[in-house]
Amino acid sequence: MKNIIKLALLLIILNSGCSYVSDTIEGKISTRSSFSIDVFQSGNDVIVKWDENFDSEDFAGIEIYRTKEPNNEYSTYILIENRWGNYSLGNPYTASFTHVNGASNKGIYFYRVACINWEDSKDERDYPENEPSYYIYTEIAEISGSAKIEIK
Amino acid sequence: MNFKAFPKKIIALLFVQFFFSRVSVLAYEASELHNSVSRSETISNLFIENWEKIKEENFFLYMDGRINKVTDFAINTYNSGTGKYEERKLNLIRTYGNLTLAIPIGKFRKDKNESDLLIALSTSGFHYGLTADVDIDRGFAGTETASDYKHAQFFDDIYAISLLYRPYFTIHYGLIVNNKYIPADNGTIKYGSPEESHKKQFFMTEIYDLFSFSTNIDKSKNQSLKFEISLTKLLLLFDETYKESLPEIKTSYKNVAIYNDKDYDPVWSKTPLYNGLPKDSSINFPEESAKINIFSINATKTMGTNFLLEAQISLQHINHDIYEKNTLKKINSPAIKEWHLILSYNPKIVVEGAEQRSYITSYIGLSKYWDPAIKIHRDEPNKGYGVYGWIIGSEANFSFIGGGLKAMYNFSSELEKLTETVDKWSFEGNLFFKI
Repeated sequence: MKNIIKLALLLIILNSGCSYVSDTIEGKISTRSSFSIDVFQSGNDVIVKWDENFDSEDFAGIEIYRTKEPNNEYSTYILIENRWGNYSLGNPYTASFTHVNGASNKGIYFYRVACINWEDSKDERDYPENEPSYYIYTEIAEISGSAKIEIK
Repeated sequence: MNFKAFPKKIIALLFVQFFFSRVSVLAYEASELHNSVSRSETISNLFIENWEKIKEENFFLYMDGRINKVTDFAINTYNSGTGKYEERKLNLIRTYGNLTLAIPIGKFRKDKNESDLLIALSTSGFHYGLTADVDIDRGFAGTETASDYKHAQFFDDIYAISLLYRPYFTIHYGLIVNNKYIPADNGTIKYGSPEESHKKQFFMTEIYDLFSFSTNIDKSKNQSLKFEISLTKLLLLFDETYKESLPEIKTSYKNVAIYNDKDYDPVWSKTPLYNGLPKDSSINFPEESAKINIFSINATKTMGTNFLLEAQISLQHINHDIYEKNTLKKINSPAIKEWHLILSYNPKIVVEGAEQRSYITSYIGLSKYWDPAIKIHRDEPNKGYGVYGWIIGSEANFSFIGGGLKAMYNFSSELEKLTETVDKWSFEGNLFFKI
């Protein structure tokens, strides 16, 4: 009990405000974009960079997405690559990705990066951590805001 | 099941998605959210509402959280792909959190007739903001939805200290902090450097559950004042003959300096003109203010063993003339600002061994609300400034944990918090926990 009260007191003293805490919880529920990424063109490729550490017991992989339609920020994002197509995206410390031939079509595109986690905690996972399970038992844990690139 | 998946499923149930498909509304820019006077009113009202619920209880720690979602806000939003502003359906998300730590000086009282002394520290906060859904096609893993912040985001918090000498008096003093952030183009926010920040003070006192007074003060000037008297309790001090048959009646008076000739205000105050031209045709017109005075009577009465009826009517007087901004026409405000009726069904459930009664309550209500901003934000402006609304909901209190769920459409308490929700469904879920 005393520890809970000390924790609550600490929260009140140090808290940046309940509005931020409640918004953070809602942001987790609605998978709010929470970090920034950079994209730039290199020849016919597009380089995507980020500065986030995704390491956790539940980490399942990193995924890269791009808008399906050119010149529409609000188009659906489609999967460009995941860890099963690019081994480095299975490493939580990976911080860049090269979209090979990503600059072959002209137009304005938007990229996003997501950290994918297993839905269940480690001791509750009763399935192998392989590719078929990945498609069934994972979800987006964190996602970046969009990053715009104009391919001319 | 992990932490993230569980609330998703709860929220999916809470928001009953089938309600969300409805006709689109006209595009407009978010505006009333910018009014820090009304937002300060909202957060201080929520703080008081919270204390009303917990002031009789013995607890060390109380936590309460709410999520409210209003869909179908058609807002002109910049599309960086086309380089144009386009109408886009956004969600208004409002989240509320409260954390109260109570420290008894000595011991908690065992009975409501005994006295005890408590000091409490609280922080309550309300976030308002528009978000856009983002569809993510994960290939074989299916489709998920993420969200981005869009347009200004508002974070309002109260940090308060309270002294309770129960049952004699209560004093709350707090600081209200209103922060406004503009999200980056990529839909994220960098906290810590708000675009706009206001600080106000909040004070409330209550004597013997009979009289209460509260005020929000900005730069030594009262922005709002509220007095409340519990007439029935006052009468029962002198004569308890009709204790069981009398309804509980409370009267209150409040005034709020709500209209201040700001861009986001729905009306011009005192006069629509400056030097013979509409005020907004001059950059430096002198801003004038109009106060709204509201007198309310609220009555609650138990009916039989399981029903409770609450009725309220609020009369208004605006101390200066107000004018529509687009037509410059004078607005004739009616005497009645708001009324509502709420019928609750409360089959009391006694939990063996619990410190107090646990219960599940279901309620339904009807209201009418008048506000000059309603005409601006409603689907059909020619219907005027008044609107009927309703509410349906349920609450469960299992002593140490509880929660609720409600759906509202134009209900007066919801419109009082934010008039822009007119003609839109609003859904709210809340959970509380106390030790």
